[in-house]
Amino acid sequence: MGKTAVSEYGYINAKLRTRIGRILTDDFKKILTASDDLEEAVQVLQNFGFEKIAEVWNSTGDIQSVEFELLKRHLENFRMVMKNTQGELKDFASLLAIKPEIENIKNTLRLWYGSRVKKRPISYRSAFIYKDRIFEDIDWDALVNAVSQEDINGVFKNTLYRSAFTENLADKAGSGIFKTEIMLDKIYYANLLEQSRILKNSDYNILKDIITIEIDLQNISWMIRYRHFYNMSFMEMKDIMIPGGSSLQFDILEKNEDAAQGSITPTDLLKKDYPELSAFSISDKHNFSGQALLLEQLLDETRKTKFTNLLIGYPFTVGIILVYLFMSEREMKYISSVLNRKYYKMGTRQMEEQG
Amino acid sequence: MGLFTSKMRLLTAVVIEEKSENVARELLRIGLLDFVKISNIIDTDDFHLKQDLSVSTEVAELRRRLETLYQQAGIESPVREALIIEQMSDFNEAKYRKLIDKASSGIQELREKQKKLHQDSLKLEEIKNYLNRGGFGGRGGAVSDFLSIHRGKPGRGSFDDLLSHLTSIPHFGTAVPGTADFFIVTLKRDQALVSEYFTKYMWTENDEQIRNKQHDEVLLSDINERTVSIKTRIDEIKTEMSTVIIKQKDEFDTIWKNLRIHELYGRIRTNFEHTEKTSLFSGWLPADKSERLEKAVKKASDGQCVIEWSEPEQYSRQSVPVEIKHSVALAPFQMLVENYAVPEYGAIDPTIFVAVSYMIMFGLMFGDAGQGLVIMLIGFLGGKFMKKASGGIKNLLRLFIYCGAASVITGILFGSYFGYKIFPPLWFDYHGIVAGHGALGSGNITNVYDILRITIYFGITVIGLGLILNWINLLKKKDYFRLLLDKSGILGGWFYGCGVYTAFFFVGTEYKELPAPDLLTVFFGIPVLILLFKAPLHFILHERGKKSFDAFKIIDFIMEWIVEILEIFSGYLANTLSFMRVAGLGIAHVSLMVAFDTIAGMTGGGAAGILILIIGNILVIALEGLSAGIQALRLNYYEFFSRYFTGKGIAYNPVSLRNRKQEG
Repeated sequence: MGKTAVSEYGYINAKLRTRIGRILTDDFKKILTASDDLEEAVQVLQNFGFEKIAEVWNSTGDIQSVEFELLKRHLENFRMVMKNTQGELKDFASLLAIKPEIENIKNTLRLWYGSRVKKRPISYRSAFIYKDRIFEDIDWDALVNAVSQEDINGVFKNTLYRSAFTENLADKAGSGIFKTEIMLDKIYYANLLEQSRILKNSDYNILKDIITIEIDLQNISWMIRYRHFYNMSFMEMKDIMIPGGSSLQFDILEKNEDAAQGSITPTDLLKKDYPELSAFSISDKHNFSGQALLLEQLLDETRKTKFTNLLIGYPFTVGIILVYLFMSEREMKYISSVLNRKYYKMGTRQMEEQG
Repeated sequence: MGLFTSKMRLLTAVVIEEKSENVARELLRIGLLDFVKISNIIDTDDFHLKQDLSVSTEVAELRRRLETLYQQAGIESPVREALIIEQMSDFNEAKYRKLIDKASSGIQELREKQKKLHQDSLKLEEIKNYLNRGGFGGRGGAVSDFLSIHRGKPGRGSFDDLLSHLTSIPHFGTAVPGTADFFIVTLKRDQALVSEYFTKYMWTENDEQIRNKQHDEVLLSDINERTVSIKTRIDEIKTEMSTVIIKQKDEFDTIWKNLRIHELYGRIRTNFEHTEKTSLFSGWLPADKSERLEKAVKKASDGQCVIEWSEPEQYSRQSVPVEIKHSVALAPFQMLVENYAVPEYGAIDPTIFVAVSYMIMFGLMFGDAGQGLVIMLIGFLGGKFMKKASGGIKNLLRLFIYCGAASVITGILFGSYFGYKIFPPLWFDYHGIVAGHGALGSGNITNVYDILRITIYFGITVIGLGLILNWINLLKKKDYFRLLLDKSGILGGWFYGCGVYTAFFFVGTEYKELPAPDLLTVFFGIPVLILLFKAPLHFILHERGKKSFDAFKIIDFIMEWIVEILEIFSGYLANTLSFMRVAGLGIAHVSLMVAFDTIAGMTGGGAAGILILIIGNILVIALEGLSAGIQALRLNYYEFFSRYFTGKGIAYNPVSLRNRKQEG
């Protein structure tokens, strides 16, 4: 007899729903942000089930160690999901773990690049690279200690990521490693969408729906970064956009290449698939980054609505796993961000300004 | 201790402005008033009242910072110590801030040192890991993929000076025993920096000397020694951090208490509103304490005050705070009630009923004198050794004692002692019945069905009691409509009583006959007909004029009627049968003990058998004890409370020096 949705998702989804209810509660966020300094914030964490995080701070006094502990906690959640799933669902859960692995690769590459190209010693920071296996078998020590492009290629030669390492990174003194980072993201999304076809149709559609928004968000984030801060041309931007998002109108990018600077806005790019944007009124049409930030918030809200629908809808789908892992990541980033702000003594106003 | 929640009164006072501080202090000392904003009870638009904003965020901030320091030192703030108003002194913010800043900055300095040492240890760990990963190899120089090991000596400057330039990278340096040479271990990735300083210090590499096994051992041992010394220093720093706080604890305790009193005093002051020459405030308190408070306010204001009392009947019941008074003995059960909700003002306080029903249910599900004694002991010992535990934990431990006692009593009644019949049962032989090997001396309880029957009787009693309590509540509220026609009102009770009679009649005739049709008409036909008029009557009495009446309304009435009939019949049936779980768990408990006894018997007795029995008892106490506790709670919450308990009240929460509840 084949597996039913209930037998496949019953246990794991019940477990995750319980955990979701405890992630970033209003009470927790209120008390954590209201804490006067980092020491108080850590005590708050201790009282909300983050004893290990508080222990790390108390025994090291090092916020990077605390952030690393948060990362380990997040990755532990992926392991837990994999441990409690079977068959195709387990395979799918492991595909989701590629995302944090790519983040780990990027962090390692940044350290390496800083040391090799920018001549900033890595010092103790290699201790904050997660070295246990996440998805692929990667020799992290070899990566951070690589002295040549061949060493790097050697690390990735038998992995999913090998195609991202075709250029010599050490030659990128001026431009950084962002193209490699983008390639890695593209690999993640392409692989996820391709390999997830092992899921049932209903589950695949849920995944596609969520991933589409995630890709849109990622693309918007890059547009802000590269258009606004590096003045990148539309055509260059077109090359870096991740395929798979439903909403970016690439033809508009092409058509506007010759137009005056700032004559295109993210609103123009997105409104076809997000009709709610038609009511979106922004006074300064040329404030690219301002608009893009607002749009990012809007897409984030759309994603929240989708997640809420998943949580209140039919309980035996892959949606709960997606929501949980997303919430886990958000929790890690939120706590990390609050602790950093406390550490660098940023006032409440600055915290609000920076979201 | 009363059957109902305490009677409350609302005080509204006007005091002369210059006496308001005295009055506020007195209110804090006496700690009886649960404040209400004046503007919430009277129309103050014409008075142009000003609010006192004297509660200081600085006070709360400093108190919180102090508590963080306490936590860092691993010591408790004086939260458990009694506060007295005489301890209140001036709020010397500058002085307190200076002291707290000094302690914080002392800790901050230590944190910086701790961080630096931790980072040094990470660097050293990396080298150590690579040494372990790659091994030492034979000759000097590179031994692992990532390490460079150099042996030599600087031609200019000292070895220590050279090392001081390498602090930004992982490195380790030590003397080569018996020679003038040194080892320097670095990472290949840092070769550029190392080469720069080697050149500067004219480092001479000693290529001729073979690094032997002894050298490798020395190197590893030196690294280990250095790692241990760093870790020791980190631990010392942690102790130093605690010492910074502990040595000032007395002073900090005094400050903490003063800050706490100022904070509470500030809370009282924010509830004062002012005209030009007077202050006004208002709040609820138990009626039996109103005289005491009135005297205190008059004394503190030298009689320059006007006091007015209002009775709760003038306000919505749900806006009046609720005080439940009990002896400490009932505290565990009060906790169970409050975990569900606070009862509505003026309603029956369910605590005593919960206490009795909970213990009976637990006892019936977990009837074993020996195991009950163990649970009691856990409660006693926990209370003795966990003196610093929170109120919730203490109540839980007390609940253990009560549940244990209930099990001891039912265990004696069932003749069960750690699953064995040491003494004959006083009521019936539970084990004998479940195990099927006879139930001598058990009177009319001879089989499992008889046990189920007992729990059904018990369920009927609990539900019946719930209905009576509900009628009393509704009568007190003068809610005659619901008293007569609600599903838990008299009509509902009639259905239930007749339903129970009919069921027993049916069983009594061995499932062959129902009561006479005329009787059934009186039992169910007429009440069902009466129920048909409930919704229209409710509309006429409460909604006419507010809502429109049309044909759809008639369909609504009929639908409501059908749904209510179904709810009454299925609800009461399910509620009553739900009590069979009491027998179910009791039977499971006995069955488990019988199973462990059988397994122990299969080992042929001896040490193995005893061990199995001990493990079996521990498992049964832990698992069955937990199940019985949860099921007893569930039956109280769903079958009992649902009949009469309206948890719409708000708890009485006076601003008091005795109130340990902390704010942000």
